[in-house]
Amino acid sequence: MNRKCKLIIILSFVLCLTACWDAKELDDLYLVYGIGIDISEDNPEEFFVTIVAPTIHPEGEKTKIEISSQGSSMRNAQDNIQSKAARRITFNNTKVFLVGEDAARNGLEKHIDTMLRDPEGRGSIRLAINEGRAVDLLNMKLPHIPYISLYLVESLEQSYETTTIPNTSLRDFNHELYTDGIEPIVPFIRYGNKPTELLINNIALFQQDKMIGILEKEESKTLMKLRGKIYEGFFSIAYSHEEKNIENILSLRIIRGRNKITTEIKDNKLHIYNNISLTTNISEYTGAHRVFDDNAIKEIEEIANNTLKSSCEQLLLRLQKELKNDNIGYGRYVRVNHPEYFDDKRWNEQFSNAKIHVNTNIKVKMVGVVQ
Amino acid sequence: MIKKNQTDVISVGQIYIMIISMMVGTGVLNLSRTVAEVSKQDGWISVLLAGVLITTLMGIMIFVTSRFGENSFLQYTSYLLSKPVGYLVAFLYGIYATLLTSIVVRFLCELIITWFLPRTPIYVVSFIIVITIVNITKNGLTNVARFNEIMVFAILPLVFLIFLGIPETSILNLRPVGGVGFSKIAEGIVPSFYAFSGYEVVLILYPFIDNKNKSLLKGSMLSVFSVTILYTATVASQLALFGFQEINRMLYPSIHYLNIVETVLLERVEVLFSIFWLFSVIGTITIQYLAGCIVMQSIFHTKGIHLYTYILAPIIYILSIYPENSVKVVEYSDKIGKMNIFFGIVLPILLLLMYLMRGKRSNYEQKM
Repeated sequence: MNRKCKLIIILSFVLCLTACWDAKELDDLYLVYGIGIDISEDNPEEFFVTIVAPTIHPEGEKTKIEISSQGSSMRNAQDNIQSKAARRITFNNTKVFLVGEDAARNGLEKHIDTMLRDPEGRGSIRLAINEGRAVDLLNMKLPHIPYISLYLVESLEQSYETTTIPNTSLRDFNHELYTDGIEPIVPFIRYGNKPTELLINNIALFQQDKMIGILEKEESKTLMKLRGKIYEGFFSIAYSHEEKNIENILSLRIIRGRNKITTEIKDNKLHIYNNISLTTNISEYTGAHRVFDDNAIKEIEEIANNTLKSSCEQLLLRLQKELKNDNIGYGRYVRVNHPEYFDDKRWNEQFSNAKIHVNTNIKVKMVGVVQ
Repeated sequence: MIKKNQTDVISVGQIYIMIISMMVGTGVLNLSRTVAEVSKQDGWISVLLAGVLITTLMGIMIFVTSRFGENSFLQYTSYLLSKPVGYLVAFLYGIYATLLTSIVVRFLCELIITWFLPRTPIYVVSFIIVITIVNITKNGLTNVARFNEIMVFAILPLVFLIFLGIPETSILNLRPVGGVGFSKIAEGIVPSFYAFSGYEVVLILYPFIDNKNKSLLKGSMLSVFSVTILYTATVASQLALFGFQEINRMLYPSIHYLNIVETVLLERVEVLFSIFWLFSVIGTITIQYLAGCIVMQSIFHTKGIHLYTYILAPIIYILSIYPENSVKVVEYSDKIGKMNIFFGIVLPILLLLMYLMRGKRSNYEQKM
């Protein structure tokens, strides 16, 4: 009897080993790949949130589902989305967080806090601002790819590798938001000439959590170089040699780059030295002149240096005088090197009055396989 | 003299493992935040100093306890501090061990509920943990030591996970080194104690070590120091990644640290970390719990330790579900961390001083 009892008890324990009684099947969930947020068109006090998730339904006509809803906060709107969805919504696999232009000017801190507070949200989710409304971009149909969110993540990564934009994640944004001496930057997506074309080469500038300006194509590249986030990419200059009347273009392929920032206080004035070094190869030259020549290379290097220097100075002028906003992060160096001078409350003002010296050192190593 | 039987003996190697396993626990989750709140970018120096201090204290503890061979904690404290004080200290240690165990159980519940079982009530999770602990500890110290021998392998992956975030770090966040001043760095040592707490179990476990030899002192100190290195590297890498300003806004920086990395094989590294960490914490709990039971048994002179593993279990269970929310949990853990200052710092120094004043071992043995 005793043995039988034991056997029954042990066997009943085996039932516990089946495990995962509350496991969720993949086709019972909407795995949200992309989230977008806008200011509501009906009520400017409210937000309009859109999610995109693959449907994984063999008989479904579409491979993905987009659901939007309005709410007083991001989570509130998400809650309203859930009431429109047939399956449970999960943010465990979210790849990208898109913010419409208006919502970005309104401030991002509260939305990012919502995303990161829940353990479902990851710090590595990519953040991007887009021209117009996020819902329009998330609903965009691209003929070559089913999921726009994944396409965006890949495009952002590509543009980052060509030293065009930052690949800002939610955590990066948070870091720059809460750290003294630096203001956040986020990729800005524009529409191209065709309805299915996207331009991923602009940067949205932030002061605290609010967007205050946009840098276009070349300016974005210059900002990335000033920040020292230099990977690959091209750098084009006008080089005509002796044919003064013809505008020839010479493109340099960046192989690697370095950026060194030092600071100094001289006569009570802050001097910042930003030295940018680039190692490049010639990858294009539209002129007829031979570039396989030592003097020509020296000349190219000089023109390239001057071009980069002047574009850096132009950008700095805009940041210092027009926007009065340190998106490069010089303040972090000043805080470390001159803690007695650095004032976290007035840093942007100190930055706008600082004397910034940009030195560029571009080296051409190879001319390609054509002389 | 303690009565050893086969279930209550541990080897020298096992005590090293138990010291490491005991120290690596819940504290590592929020260590960098608690120190960065005080000593900012120099938090890692505070942790290093705390570790060096504790390594020295470990030396003192082994030195004092080794003079009393196989006499129990209660016996030598009674001899060195007088009988009533000895009993009081032992009793207080029992209470401290109970509180520390329950707060660690609660921390474990918080983690499990946050990451794995969001809809399971805390009393269910806590109950399962407590019965697991009773099951491991009821058969005595040898079982616990063997369990920890296996569990130490769960700590090893934690070491490698530190390197994951390194490419994203910036050394600028650690500069200027020493910029907050020595007084702030020294102040930062206090909050780091909770992360290290637990090393004082050596005072209780020493008599149970079989074949004690001279290398024990060196080995124990080395064990503490290796944990110090692990903690310093953890805090330095987290500070270099987040900077002290961002860290102040995070509840568990160690998990956030992994949250930002996407590896090729695993999308969510922090879940993997949590699984390993969970086992390492179970290791911590078993040792702390058993130490409390051993002390209680010596006070009340009962036959076996297993009786106390059953008696204290409901207390631990109730205490672990008592804090209303996560804020209270952190609040209580700070308070318990402060109690550690008595058992971890004051008591070993006091014992050493009394030992030096009351004479050497030979005198003691004559009195027994």
